[in-house]
Amino acid sequence: MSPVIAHLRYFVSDAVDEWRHSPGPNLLATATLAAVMFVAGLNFLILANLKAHVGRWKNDLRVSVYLVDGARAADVDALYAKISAVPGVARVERVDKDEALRRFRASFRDLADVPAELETNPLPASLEVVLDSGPQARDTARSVGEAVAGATVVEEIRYDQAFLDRIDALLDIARWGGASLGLVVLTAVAFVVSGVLRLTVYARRDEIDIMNLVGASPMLVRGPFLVAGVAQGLMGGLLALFLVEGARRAARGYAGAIPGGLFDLAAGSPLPLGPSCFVVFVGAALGFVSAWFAVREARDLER
Amino acid sequence: MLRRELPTQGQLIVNGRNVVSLPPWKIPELRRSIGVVFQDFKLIRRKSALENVAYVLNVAGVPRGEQKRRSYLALKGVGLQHRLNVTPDVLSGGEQQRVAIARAVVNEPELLLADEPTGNLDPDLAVEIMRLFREINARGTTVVVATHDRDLIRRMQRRTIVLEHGRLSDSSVSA
Repeated sequence: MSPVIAHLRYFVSDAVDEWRHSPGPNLLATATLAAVMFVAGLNFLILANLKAHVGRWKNDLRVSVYLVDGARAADVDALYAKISAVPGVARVERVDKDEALRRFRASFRDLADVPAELETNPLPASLEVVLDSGPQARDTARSVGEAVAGATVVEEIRYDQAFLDRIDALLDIARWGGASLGLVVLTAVAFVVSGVLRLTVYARRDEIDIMNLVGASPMLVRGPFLVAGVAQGLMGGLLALFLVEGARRAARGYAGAIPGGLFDLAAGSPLPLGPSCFVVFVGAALGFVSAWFAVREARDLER
Repeated sequence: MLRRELPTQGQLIVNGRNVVSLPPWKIPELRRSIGVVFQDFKLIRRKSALENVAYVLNVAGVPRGEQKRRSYLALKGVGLQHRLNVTPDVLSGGEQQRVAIARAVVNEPELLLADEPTGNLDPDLAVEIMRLFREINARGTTVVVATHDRDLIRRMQRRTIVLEHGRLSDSSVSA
């Protein structure tokens, strides 16, 4: 067995031994790490779900081409044919003024009476362009815009690309802002956890003194503490994942009470594999850093 | 001699090495070359007698199987082959000191340093421990014993160096 493997084996067995002898501080450190990673995991869950929804919306774009009132049927037919010929257009639906009113009333029930109070139906007829789903939808929407540009029967063309891009950008800002804030919080937590781990170092100060006296290298003295820190971080990260999924499933029971399908939007799907691995990895890294801060204290015990 | 403290002046030569000018990263190596026995035994409470002895070999990077074999032989050498798996709390003072001696010699150091090794033991056990030191010395290890027990020193009939107020006041060789 190589010396590195032998040392690693010793670190692990000593760390396990340490857990057995003083479970209190070790459990406290693990619970603290799990709590922090749980909050981070919830954040990742919501961002991942929102991001996935926005991505789907962007792939399922519709373009609304609003027509001028009194447009001639022949002109509308020509426009219909022109739009249908654009590559990537799945189909084109005609929405006349009556259908537009019906849809308005269905969508805005509180305002359903407003058009009736007006003398004429103010809503324009339109052509609803359904695009092939996929990342190319954005380009197709632009092509449709170019195809109808200048047509005299077109009042306005509208699609949600710009709006979705803005939401996407906001999500990116939230992600990076969250990451920056998270980094500050994680650094603070590293100090808190290292304070807890310092208790285990001090509880073993006589032992550390003996290790130094018989010629143990600093790495051999600190190794078990670092391995224990990584193990605590891994366990904390895994525990956090279980808690996040548990919380998501528990909240699913109340999804009906949350308006606007907000639950599905924010937590409809479980945390994806990538962010899950990230939570566990960050937990382990945080455990290592905390242990490293704690064992720096051991230097004071070395003489 | 273990570079726990530095002298205010002069040199401290151990096995041909000037301990005073030793860089910090060389200190573990120095300590591994010296076996040490303390008055308060300094055994790791949560490890068994065998593990305490084996720890020195672990530190030196000796393979696991070899650690066990040599630790057993060292404990057998001090008459504790029947107490391998008990922790120090279960051992008597004399037994703990013998474990500490086994730990000090298991790495076959050139120098064995014993700091008041009999200070916590009754006279009969003290003689027994000193007998062990004589055996170790007979096998080729230099044994330095620091003690206040003049009667014990007289009975050992070995080279004696007397320090008074930090200065060498007498050096004699008993036959």
